[in-house]
Amino acid sequence: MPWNDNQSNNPWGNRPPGGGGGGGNQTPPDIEEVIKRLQERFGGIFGGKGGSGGNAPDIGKGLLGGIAVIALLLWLATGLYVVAADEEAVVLRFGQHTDTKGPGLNWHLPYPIETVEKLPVTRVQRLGIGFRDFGDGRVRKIPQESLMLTRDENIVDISFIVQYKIKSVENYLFNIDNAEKTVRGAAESAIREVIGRTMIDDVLTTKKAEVEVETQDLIQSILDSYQAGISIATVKLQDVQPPERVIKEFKDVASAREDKERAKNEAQTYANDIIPNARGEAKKMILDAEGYEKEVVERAIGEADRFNQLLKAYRQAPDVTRKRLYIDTMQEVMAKTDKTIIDGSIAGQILPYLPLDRAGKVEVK
Amino acid sequence: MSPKLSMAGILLVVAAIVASMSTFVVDQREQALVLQFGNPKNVVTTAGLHFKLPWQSVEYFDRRLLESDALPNEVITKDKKSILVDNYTRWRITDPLKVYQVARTQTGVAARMQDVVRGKVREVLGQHTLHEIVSGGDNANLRVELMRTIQRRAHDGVKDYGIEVVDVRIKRADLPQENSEAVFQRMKAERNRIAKEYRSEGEEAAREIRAKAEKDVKFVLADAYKNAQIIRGHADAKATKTYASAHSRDPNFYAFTRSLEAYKQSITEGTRLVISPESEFFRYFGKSGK
Repeated sequence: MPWNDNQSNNPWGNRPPGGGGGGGNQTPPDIEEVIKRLQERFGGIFGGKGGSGGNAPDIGKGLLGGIAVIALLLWLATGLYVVAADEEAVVLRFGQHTDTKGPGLNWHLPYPIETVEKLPVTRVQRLGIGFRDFGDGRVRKIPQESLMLTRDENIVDISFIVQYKIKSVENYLFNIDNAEKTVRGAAESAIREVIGRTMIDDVLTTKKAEVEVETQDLIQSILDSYQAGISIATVKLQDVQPPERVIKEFKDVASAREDKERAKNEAQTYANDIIPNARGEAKKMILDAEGYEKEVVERAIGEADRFNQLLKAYRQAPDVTRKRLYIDTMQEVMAKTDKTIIDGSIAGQILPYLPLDRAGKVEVK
Repeated sequence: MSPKLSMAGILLVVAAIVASMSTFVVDQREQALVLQFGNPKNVVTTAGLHFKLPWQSVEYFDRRLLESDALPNEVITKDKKSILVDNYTRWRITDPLKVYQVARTQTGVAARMQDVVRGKVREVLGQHTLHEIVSGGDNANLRVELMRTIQRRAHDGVKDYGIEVVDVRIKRADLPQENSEAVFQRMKAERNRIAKEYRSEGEEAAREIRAKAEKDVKFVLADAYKNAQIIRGHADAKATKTYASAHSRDPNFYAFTRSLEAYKQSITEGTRLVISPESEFFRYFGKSGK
């Protein structure tokens, strides 16, 4: 029965002999022990009667009284108990809940009238789903827990941790039969419900936090509907990944996404190379044109001016100047050339024999 | 005195034994059924110290919300697919007497309840397609509704067992091995498609970026060429105008001087001239003037 282990909560360990005189139902060994002791005690008195006359019963009676008082005190002392800072204690009188005590030194009516159960109310308990943690760093996956179907009927591999603590000791103790199994069951059901309405790509990428929050809320509402007295502190997704069978393909998608970015970047690099080059080329073309403009216009002005000057001078003595210009020029031209002077009358006969190939240019005047 | 004392002692012991046999404790977490030679006499649902006749015995039942986890249950869906459903049931003993009559013990009644729940799970889920069960189909709350329907029907089904079904929850609704295989194949194909899409999109974007860049280059160069030509045109026009305004003052003289200039420029070193002595330049070559 549930209070078999009550004694382990008793800081005074052993019960004093004979202490269970008043009750002791439900615990046959105690009754036997008590009866045996009582028989021994009374047997001694009976035995004493035959031997030493009137004195012995008085001594026996005094002794008996003393033992009874000490036994009673010891019995009462078993009701002392300490509740640690992180605990709360539930007091049960004949199994009925009468009181809940906080930390400190307390006293309850001794066993079997009252018993005390202490619970670690502030301790956050941790539960792994989808894997088992062996505490020494070894972790084993539980595929039947961690594989689940998403809304778009893909399979995803999720393991997560649920942290919970006791919200109400009374509910925790009296309303549910197995806290850990309760939380585990609710968590498994909740995560599948949440994942079942989420798309795989969202689960794997952007909606992890939402899944955590939704799952936590759902577990909490399931537990509240059981009045389990448990509050969920956090739900933390540990490992969210595609199942092992298809992980290669998922990785390929990730690298394809990078390939896409890389292709874009390479193209951008190319663009960044040729556009500034072209702009440079364009500037050069404009500058060249502007240079040309300056050159041509200034030249024209200069040459026109020169012509005007010359013309002015020429008009003062046209004939002479004309001749001078002509002869000057011809002199200059003739000085540089390789000349053959042929009389016009024989030109027709001789011309075909001239080694014209030696000359770059031939001019017949 | 002594015989009296020993008598008192014996009485005390007997009284203690009788007292212990005629009282029993019911824990906060339990309820009890008092039996007289196997016959149910009394149901005790309040915790505390209770009395009975010494020859009566007590059967204890849990009063808490109990969990009962069954083995996965294979369900055939409406679209004739098989699915493995793992569910748990939260239930509570409401009438120890009935439980005792039906199954004697808590485990016995739990087993009977499991049978009922399993049947209801099959019945309810059998009316829906795989897709609806797994992901709710069009109705996001379908899963919740299904669980509630199963709970309600199971609750009605166990009415006579002295228990109530508080909650039935589907922990897992998984595809059996063969179907999982198909899902994996589909996932692979889908991922391959997505990967290809990404790569093609990358190629597309890259080509666009390159082409756009090349277009920009052509634009820039064309623009620049146009502007350069305009500038050159202006320059030529201006120069031509300048020349024309000067030269038109004496076109003849211009032709003369320009020709001379042209000779100078065009007849360079090494040019071979075959000249007649009758030309203007040789006017005085043969004869000493007139």
